[in-house]
Amino acid sequence: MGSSLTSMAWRNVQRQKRRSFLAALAMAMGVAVTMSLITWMAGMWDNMEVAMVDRLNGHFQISHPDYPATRQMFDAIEDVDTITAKLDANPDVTAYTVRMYGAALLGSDERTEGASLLGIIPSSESRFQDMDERITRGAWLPDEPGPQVVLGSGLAKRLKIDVGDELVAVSQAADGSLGNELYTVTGIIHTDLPQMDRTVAYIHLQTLSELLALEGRAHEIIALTPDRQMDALTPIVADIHDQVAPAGLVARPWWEVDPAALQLMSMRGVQEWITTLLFLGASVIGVINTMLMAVMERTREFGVLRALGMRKREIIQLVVAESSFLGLIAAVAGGILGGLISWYLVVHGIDMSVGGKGWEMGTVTIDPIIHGKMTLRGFLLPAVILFGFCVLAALWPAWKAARLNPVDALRAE
Amino acid sequence: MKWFIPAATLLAAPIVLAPVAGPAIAEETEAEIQALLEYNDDLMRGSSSHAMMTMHVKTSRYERRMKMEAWSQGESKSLIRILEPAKDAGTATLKSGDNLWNYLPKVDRTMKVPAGMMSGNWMGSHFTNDDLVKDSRLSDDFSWTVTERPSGNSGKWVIELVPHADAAVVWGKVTAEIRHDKMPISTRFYDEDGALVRTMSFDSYETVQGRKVPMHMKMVPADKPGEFTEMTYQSIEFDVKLDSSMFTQQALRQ
Repeated sequence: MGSSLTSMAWRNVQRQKRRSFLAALAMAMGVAVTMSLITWMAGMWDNMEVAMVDRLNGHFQISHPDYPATRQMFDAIEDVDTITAKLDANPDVTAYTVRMYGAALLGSDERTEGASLLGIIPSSESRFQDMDERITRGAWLPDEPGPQVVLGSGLAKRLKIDVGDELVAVSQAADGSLGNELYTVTGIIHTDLPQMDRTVAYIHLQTLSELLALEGRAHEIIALTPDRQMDALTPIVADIHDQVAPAGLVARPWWEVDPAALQLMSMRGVQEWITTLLFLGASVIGVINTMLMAVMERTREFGVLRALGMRKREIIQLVVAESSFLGLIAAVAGGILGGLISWYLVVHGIDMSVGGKGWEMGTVTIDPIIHGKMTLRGFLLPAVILFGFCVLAALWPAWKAARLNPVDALRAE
Repeated sequence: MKWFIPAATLLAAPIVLAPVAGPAIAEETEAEIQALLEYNDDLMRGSSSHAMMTMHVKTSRYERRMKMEAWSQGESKSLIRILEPAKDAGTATLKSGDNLWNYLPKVDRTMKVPAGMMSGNWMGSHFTNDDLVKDSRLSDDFSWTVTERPSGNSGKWVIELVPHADAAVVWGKVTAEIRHDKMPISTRFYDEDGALVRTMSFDSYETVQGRKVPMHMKMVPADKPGEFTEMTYQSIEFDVKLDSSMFTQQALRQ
């Protein structure tokens, strides 16, 4: 495009100052809103990832290779201390906790019910799930191993038992014996997952290992690293895997542990695109309208230009250039406005609390105040897409202008 | 169903048969089989019993040996108490009718085994809780065919049993082998697809109170190579005097 065409286009944009301003403003608003939405959603997504990945499943898990499928008591990590020593020594591992799962018959004075026992280490588990926040009666498990047990609210109801009562646990132990112990209900937990509350009892890992005759063993170690992203995490997990493989164990990254979470996370990019196309698509209809008007009212002018020897291609370039200027102005203005709104969202966030508390997802809580997260992609995507749209939107009006017969055009009013 | 120890249900069941709907065989033979089966029936029968035994369980995960004392009265009541190892000593199982209770000395509680746990194993063995209480009368529920007969003082009977269509039996087929002297040799249990599920075998026949009984039996699950549960009787007495209060939850605690 020649520089004379460019300056002509710029002059044309300035000829209808108000119209150009309004058209650009509409688009700038579109860019700003899109940008802010993406910033806001990025914050939401990050929170979701923290909840669904970091807190629920960790960045990676170590277990017996068969355990995830069989959930068999015997498919255990045989020597937990050796494995945790390796994790302690690994600078890429920032936190971890150990879990054991078991099934038992729980008996109160009145009832006997089957239950799932979740053996945990309260002090390190708190880095993951916030079960202590869901206690509705009594207290959460103490850090030291003991005979305390916390029951899901539904399970406590089924057993007709309350805080302070004694509870008998009977389970098939790993040595073939009938493990049996007397525990004390120390707390009742209530989450938003009634199915879980009906079946799960929480107990210290060591206490459970004694009941099941699985001392020193466990079923799952979950751990965190500095980065959950695939490219950063893959080599770390591969390295851990090589370290635990001789002990007959596997280390699996979160996306293998919970493919559904990965699927959900991959929606993030799709959502950003849909938002961008939807919002900017609307403002681009305005551009088409603006450019059509600009072309129609200048029929005579285009006739003169054609008569003076301007080629069709140059007419198209002229109109597209005019639209591009509008798009450029809108992108810059929208970027500045969107940047300001995004900055506010990042710094102050929006209070999304429900009754003063964060969103609860099972035993995991999402922050009550969601802060936006500015990303380069979130910043560039709307601006670039808008500019592209402006170029495309001008094509039709431009083609109309180029197609004009000079003689007819000159006669037009 | 005969009871001298609860686990004996299994060994007793297949040989406690009456040819209710026996197939077309010679009248004389049918009476003979009838007598044979009734003999086996009576073999395990006693108005009551008292036994000392050991159970040896071997699985791919663990191996354990337990010393136990068992009492039974009639067909529906029995009590088994574990004597060794020390960790399990005092643990007892009471059967009364279709119900099963476990007494756990460590927590001093008696727990009824809930319906959902009846298919679980008993004391880590290859017997399920259901095996202890299942009172299905094979004599009522099966029809049989004799496929092999002993000749004189050698050989054995091989009897194939198929449950009636309306019978509440989990097996598709049962095969019993009985020695020429009417002693049980083995019993094989097949599922509905005809695949072998478990094999019970008997030996160490001894004469107790004038009757010959197998003092050792072994159960081998077909789908777990190398695994088995073995029961060996150190002693057994029949028709002993037992107080019926022995088979109550109170008595479980001893």
